[in-house]
Amino acid sequence: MYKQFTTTAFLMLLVVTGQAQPAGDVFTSEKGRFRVSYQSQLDPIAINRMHSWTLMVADSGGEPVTGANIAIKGGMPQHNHGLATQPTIESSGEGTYLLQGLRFHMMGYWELELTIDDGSAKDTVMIPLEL
Amino acid sequence: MTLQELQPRLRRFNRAMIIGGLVLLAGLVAWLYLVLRPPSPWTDAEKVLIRSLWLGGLPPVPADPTNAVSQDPRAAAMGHALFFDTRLSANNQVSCAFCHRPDRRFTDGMDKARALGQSRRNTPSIVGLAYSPWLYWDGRRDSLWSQALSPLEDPQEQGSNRMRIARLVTSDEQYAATYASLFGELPDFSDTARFPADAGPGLKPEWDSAWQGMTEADRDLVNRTFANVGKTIAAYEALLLPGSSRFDDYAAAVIGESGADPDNLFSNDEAKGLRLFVGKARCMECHNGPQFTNFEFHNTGILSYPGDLPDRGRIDGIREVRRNPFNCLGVNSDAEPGQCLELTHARDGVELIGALKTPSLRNLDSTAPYMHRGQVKTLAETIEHYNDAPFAMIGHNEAENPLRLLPFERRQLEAFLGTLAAPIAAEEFLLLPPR
Repeated sequence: MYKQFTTTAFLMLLVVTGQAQPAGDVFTSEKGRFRVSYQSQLDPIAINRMHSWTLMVADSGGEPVTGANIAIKGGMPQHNHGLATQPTIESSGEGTYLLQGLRFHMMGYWELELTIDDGSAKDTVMIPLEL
Repeated sequence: MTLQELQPRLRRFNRAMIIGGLVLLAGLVAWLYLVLRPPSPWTDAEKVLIRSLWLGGLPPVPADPTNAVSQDPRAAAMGHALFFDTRLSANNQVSCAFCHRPDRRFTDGMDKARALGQSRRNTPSIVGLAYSPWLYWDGRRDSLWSQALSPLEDPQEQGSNRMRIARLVTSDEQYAATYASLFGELPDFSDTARFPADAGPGLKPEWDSAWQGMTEADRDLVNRTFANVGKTIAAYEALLLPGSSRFDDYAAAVIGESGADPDNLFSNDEAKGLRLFVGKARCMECHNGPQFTNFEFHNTGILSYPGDLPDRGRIDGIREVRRNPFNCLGVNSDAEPGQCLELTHARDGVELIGALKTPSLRNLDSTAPYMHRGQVKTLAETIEHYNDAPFAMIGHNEAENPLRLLPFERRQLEAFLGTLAAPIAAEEFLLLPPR
């Protein structure tokens, strides 16, 4: 009974917050070079609304990574399609970046893939989202 | 053969008949159970999906940053008059309302629009479009006002030109007064040496050369006036919103936003149709949110109109909107460039080949025939299309997996779609020509 309740509560939380991971979670890149967290302008993230994110990028030691080039790809792997938009990412401060032009057009499981290149290392981080 | 010889055979035959009958009866009972049993209670996950479709969740119409008068009642009143004004056409007989008929939810009931000539595509409804970042089936415009301008000059639609329309609104007493109050100074087009009777770029050769003969400053003035005409029409159109349907009453009851008993509001078939809609039929992948559309572009393998080449759709629409002088980044837009995120972040790519904009499913009762060229005449045919999932003629059918809905499920889905019908949520006088 208790287990059922917690499962339901977790599922509700997923749907209500619109995020598989609560915002503020830190995602580590594949080779472990970078750690990324984000703050969405829309919280919870809703479908069909254009919005921005602020990305926080740090190296493996937790030091902010400023002025890196970050490329973004994304989509719904289960539906075999990409994002509805072409987002852009630009440096906006010490270890922070403005990700503009995100709009998710379906409910379900999304993945965003950020490829970060700070000149000395290039690594990819995947951010999963359940909308 | 004697009777005694026959008897065992008869007995075997009778036995076979009884067993066969029982099997048939069991099958019938199972089928009846499947079709007639009441739907099981909604799960929490389903309730979340139902809430996301509920009209009560639709936010107020957002102000359009490209149109400073988008929420000005004076602009809406002027736009209302212009919408029904046949003087905006070459033959003085075609208004916007000629194809966007209020009695048909602002569509015309035809496969492809017919005004001065025949258009390429089906007339879409205007209801609720103030929320859409893109206009037209292929999204070749990015605001209500820039869309409103293009039929005025389209030879197949109203066939007029911007010079004639700019002169009309600045010389008609009522329009001129409202125009001046909204946009400041009233332009003076009385000098026919500077401002010919008919002029516009890319139209009839004589109109085009008249346009090319004007000074750049004069052309800018005409363009600005023309854009402002569109902005008032857009302010009117933004008042045309979807009304609350029987589905919305049901949804409110299911999610606890009203005290009504949902079972009194939907038949079993309608409720089961809704369950298919939010689940197995996968409709919500595109028809999501309170308007049942994501306003995005998808290739769903709709066959081309008989005799027409397959429609290239969004792949052409994105090119056209980027170079349209009346887009969000244009000189007549009231937006700051940073507010044009849809346009500056619009995607490219092969997914756009043959992709067309998801239409709303509210008011399907009076907007047939369906699809971008009216190829599909009925809802039943539409559902069969997604059940079959044919290959796309160009590009790739995103809805490529057949739904495999059984005939009774298709009927249930259609029954549910019928519950979305509702009157337009606008004051009655807005649906009639102004007095």
